[in-house]
Amino acid sequence: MKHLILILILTLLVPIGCGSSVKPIDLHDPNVPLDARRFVADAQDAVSIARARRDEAADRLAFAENWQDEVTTPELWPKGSDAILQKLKTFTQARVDMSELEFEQASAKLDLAEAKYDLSTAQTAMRNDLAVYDLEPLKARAESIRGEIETLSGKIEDQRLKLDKLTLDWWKSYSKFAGDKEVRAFYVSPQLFAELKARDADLKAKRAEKKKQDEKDAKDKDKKNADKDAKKDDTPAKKPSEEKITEDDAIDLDL
Amino acid sequence: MYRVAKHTLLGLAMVLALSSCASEPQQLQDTPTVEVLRLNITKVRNAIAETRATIAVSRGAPYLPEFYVRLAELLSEEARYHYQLAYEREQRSTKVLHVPQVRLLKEDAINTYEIVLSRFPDSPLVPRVLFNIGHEHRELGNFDEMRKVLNRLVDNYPDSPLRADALIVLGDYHFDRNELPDALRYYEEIAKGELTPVTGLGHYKLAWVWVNEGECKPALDNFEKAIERSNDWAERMRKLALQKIETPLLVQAEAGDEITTQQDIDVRRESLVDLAYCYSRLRKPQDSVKFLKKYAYNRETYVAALNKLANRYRTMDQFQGAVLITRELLSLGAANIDRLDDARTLYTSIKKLKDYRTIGVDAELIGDSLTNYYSRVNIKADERERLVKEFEVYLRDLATTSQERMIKKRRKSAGPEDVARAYKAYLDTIPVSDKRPDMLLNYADLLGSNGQELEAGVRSMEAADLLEDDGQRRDALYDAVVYFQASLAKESDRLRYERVAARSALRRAGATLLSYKLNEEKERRVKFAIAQAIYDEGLYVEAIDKLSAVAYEFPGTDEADAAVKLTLDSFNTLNDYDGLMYASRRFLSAGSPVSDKLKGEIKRIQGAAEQRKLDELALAAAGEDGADISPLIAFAEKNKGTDLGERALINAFVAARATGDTEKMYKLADSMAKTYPKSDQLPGIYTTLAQTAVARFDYDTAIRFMKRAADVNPSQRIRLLIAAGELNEQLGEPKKAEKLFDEALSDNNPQSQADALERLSSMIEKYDGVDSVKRKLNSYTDQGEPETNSRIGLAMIGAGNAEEGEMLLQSVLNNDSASGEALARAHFGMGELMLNVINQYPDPEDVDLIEEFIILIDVMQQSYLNAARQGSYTYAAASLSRLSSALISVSKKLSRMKMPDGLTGAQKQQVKAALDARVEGLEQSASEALTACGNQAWTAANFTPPVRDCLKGNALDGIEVKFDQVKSRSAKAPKGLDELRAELSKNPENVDKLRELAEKFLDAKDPHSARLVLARAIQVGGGALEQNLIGVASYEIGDVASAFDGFARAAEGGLEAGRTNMKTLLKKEGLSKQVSEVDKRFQKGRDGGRLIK
Repeated sequence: MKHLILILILTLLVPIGCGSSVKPIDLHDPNVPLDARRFVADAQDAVSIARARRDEAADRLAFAENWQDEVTTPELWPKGSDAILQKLKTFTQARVDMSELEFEQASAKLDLAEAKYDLSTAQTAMRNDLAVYDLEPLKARAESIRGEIETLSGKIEDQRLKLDKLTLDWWKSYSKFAGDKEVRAFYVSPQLFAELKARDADLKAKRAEKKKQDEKDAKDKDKKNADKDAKKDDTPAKKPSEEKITEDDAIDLDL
Repeated sequence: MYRVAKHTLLGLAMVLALSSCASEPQQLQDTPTVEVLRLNITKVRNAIAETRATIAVSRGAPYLPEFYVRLAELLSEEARYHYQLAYEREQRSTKVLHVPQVRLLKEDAINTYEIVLSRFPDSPLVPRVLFNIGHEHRELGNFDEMRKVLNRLVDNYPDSPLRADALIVLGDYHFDRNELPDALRYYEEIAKGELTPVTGLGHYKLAWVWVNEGECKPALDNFEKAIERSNDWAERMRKLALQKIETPLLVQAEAGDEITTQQDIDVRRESLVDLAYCYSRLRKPQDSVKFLKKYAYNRETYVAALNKLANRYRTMDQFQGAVLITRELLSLGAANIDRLDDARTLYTSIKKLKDYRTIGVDAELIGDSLTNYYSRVNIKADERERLVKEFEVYLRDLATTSQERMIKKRRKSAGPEDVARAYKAYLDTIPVSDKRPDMLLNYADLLGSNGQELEAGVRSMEAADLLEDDGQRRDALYDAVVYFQASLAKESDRLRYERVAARSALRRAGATLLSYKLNEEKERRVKFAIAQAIYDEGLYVEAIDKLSAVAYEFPGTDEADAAVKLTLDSFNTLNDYDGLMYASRRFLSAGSPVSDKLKGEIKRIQGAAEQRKLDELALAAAGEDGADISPLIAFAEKNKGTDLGERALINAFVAARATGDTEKMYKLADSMAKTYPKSDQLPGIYTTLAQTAVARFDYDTAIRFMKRAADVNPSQRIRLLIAAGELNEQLGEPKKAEKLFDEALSDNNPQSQADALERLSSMIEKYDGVDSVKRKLNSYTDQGEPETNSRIGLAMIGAGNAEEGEMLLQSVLNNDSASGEALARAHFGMGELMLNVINQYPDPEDVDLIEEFIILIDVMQQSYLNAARQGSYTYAAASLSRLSSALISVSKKLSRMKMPDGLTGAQKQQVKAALDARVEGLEQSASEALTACGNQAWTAANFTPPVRDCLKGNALDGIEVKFDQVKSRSAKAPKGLDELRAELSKNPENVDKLRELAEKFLDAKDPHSARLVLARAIQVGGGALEQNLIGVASYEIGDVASAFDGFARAAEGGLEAGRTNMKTLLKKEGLSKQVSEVDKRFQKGRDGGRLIK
């Protein structure tokens, strides 16, 4: 009995302690007015859109990181490129940092969309007497995230300025460097470079083999011809035979 | 026991059965031919015996001749079997055999046939019998007998279907003996006759006669006829067969329709094949294929004929014909060794004729002939190799020569498509050769010039892989890159696959090429091509870096410009306006790789990007969350001092206004003024703020912004100053208002001055009195503004300057645009003037002067009455009041007037009586005027000071009309009204909120502001409560007339507070006697409303 009472009490306490969790509204519930359902559906859509944007930002971040690795591959740069590579790393890192900030912002926007979705759902529920919620924490959460987004926007703008400077600086350095050196980094990916290298080596090997074979064939041919001539020379001169020519000797010209 | 025995027996049976199964079965062998022949002989002998027996018992029977014929045929058959048997015995080594049985049997057959001829000469079988006899004789070598009997058949039985066959045999006899004329005769008879199964054969034989005679023309004609007649016969048979199926009972077969003898040859085929020789001699080779096609009845015949003619043309070295025939053969013929000869012939013919017009097709045919042949499993490797070597030369020669001729525009040269096809045929047929790289490069050239750049590029790359020399390899790769680039340059008519292939191939080729040492131009081009391919693929983020690399690596070149354009386009496509903006700036900065001519375009792009960015921020700021304008503000800050920054601030202001954030609006306006003091948007901003402030009932702020707007907006300056002045006046700050009106008057625009003057003069009249009017406004009389002039005129008259005053007032009366107020004053002034004249009028010396005096009184009266009629609230009462006092004064003067001298007593009495009556009338009128003045209070709710005085019985005794002295504003607007103001911003017609605001103002001792708010409330539908509050506010201001007005309206509206306040005010104003009027005129109302103390 004691045990049961304790469980009951704990069960009652749990929702109070956890803060507001908003129960989703069924968009097909005919008891909820159509406008209200549309309102909630719009908020849902906003979450999907924000999620898609967050994923795109993640892709861009991955791309930036990948690109950084690719373009700073030492094999694609000529000798004496240490200084320029260092500059390139700084530039590419700034890009990566920018992408990271944008990803953070996109994630925050997703959080905001979710918070607004909860708020919309709670408001709709309360308007239509479906449930009772304390809206203040929900509003506060949305506001707080907005603040975060605003902060991130500021950081992004700052980073953009920084990146702009670095970009200009980088390209000017690159222009000077590439003026008298052959750089392939921006035109060939490391994978393609490796593949072409292997292919080139393979072609060279095949050509070498073919050359060897041709030389061998030529030698064999020469030897054959030489043997044939030698054989001819070995044949002693014979006197014409006195045997009669029979039908067996006749040549069938097949005219 | 029994059971044991049963089991044993069963077991034994099983063993036996198994053992029989176990032994080897008998093999059935095919009966050898000899055995079959022997069997046949036996059978036929039996048949002969039976037939003989039947003949023996059929004497006199009508079918007896048939039996004889049958017997003879059986004998002949047996003879045939014996012959075959001997042939088999000799193992088919020779056909010349000695078989006595054959002769015996055949002779026996002949004798039997003779029996039929002799015994049954009229039998319908006779022709057959004769033919058979002839046949037997022929086989026996008795040619004379054969001829005799066949001629008999030919001569005596012209309708027999066997006649033609007989003629064939006879003709063949002579042909074989080279007796051509005789043979000709017989064959011609067939040809000329009816259509028979052998008519075609007849023509065929006839043709051969002519061939042997060396006459090709008749030979060729007869070959053709042989085919035609055979076709006719075949058609006839076909129709007959069809008829037999459809209507079997109605078929009427003709005599010749039965198939009498079998033909061993296909006349149509043989004719077509055999006419080759004569055709080649007589007809044009160009028509050969058409000719053969026309006459060939099936493919096999056609191919056979082509073969024959091909050989003929080969022999004759007739290349024109050979080319056509071999082409046809190569297309249709079986893949055998003959095709190779045909291919060689075709090659030789093309070379000889130098006709390369269809070289593409020809090369394909030659290549296919080789491929089809050497693909056979029975072809040895060395033979294959040898053929490939041989044909490699042919195909290469054809392709290269045709290309050379095409380039040099020789006659009969092929077009580029055909030449390309020839090259393709070579490459497809000869997969491995030393010459392959060169051929590939040639092919690529052709494809490139023919618009097939993708394929050209692929071939160039293929050539590059095969070339050993690095220089050649490099050049081939470079060509490939150029081709791929050209391929991608085409936008339309491209399959997706082609684009994908071109891009991928270009990147590979380019990447490989970069491992070689290239000159600058090529290196630049290749790098640009690679970058462009990435762009073309839609990988814009990647493309931006690559294109930038090209631009910075090769600054000032065409490629650099193109790369920069594509870079900017990439940003634009990605909708990355920040990126576009910054990139544009970089490309415009010092050290930019672009040429000067491109910079202008980049500037435009930059401008557009900035505006677009701004638009995006503005849209976001006005978004669903409502005005997060901080990005806009940040943007403006970043672009401070530029057009962009200015636009950003404006957009931020608009966004703030949209959301009603007044605080931000004020701050932004200040920023705007500080940073862009010369901005042409400032007037609008200030005006907007002033309007907003008025809408929020924040009048102090409104006035401040109106002044600021006036400072920066010359065209609207006067209007704004006047508005600010009016507002100041409404707020009980006449000094400030006067200052603003004065400032407005400093403008030289007469219209603007008129407005300002009107306001100013009204205000001075109310607050400062007549003297101030004259003093402050005298200098403006020349303006001709009637409101002002009417006041100045009155002031002048009041100051004793009657003449000038009269002139001004007259000018007002003459001015069509003068308002009622101005006219009222003017008439009032005129009345005053008349009164002055009247007061100064000496005692009349005669009656005329008395009359004149009376007239002057009338004129004066009229003037005052006119003034009262102009609709002026104030001057209507003032005029009546003044009229009252004027009439009293005049009546007194009149009553004191001395009689003029020279009147008789009676006249004096008359005059006195008249004067007394007039005086009485004047007094009456004076009283009426005063009453009318007082009544204004209740009829028009006019409680202006003149009316109040009238109610007290005090008429106006001077020119100066009193106005209520409005108190100046003593308190500032109370704080804490923002929320209420914000609510009213959202809903400015909320009467309850307006009333609430007004009460707050009243509580804060700011009745001026309260009155303005209440005026708005009344405008939007406020009722008695609001009217009462206006009364309270007006009372607190000191505007008693307006207070009475408000209370009266409230009382009319049924509010008891209105009645109560009205009574209170009446008492305060010393009009207690009028209190009862309130109860008379207004019913007791409902509770509510503020009361005055």
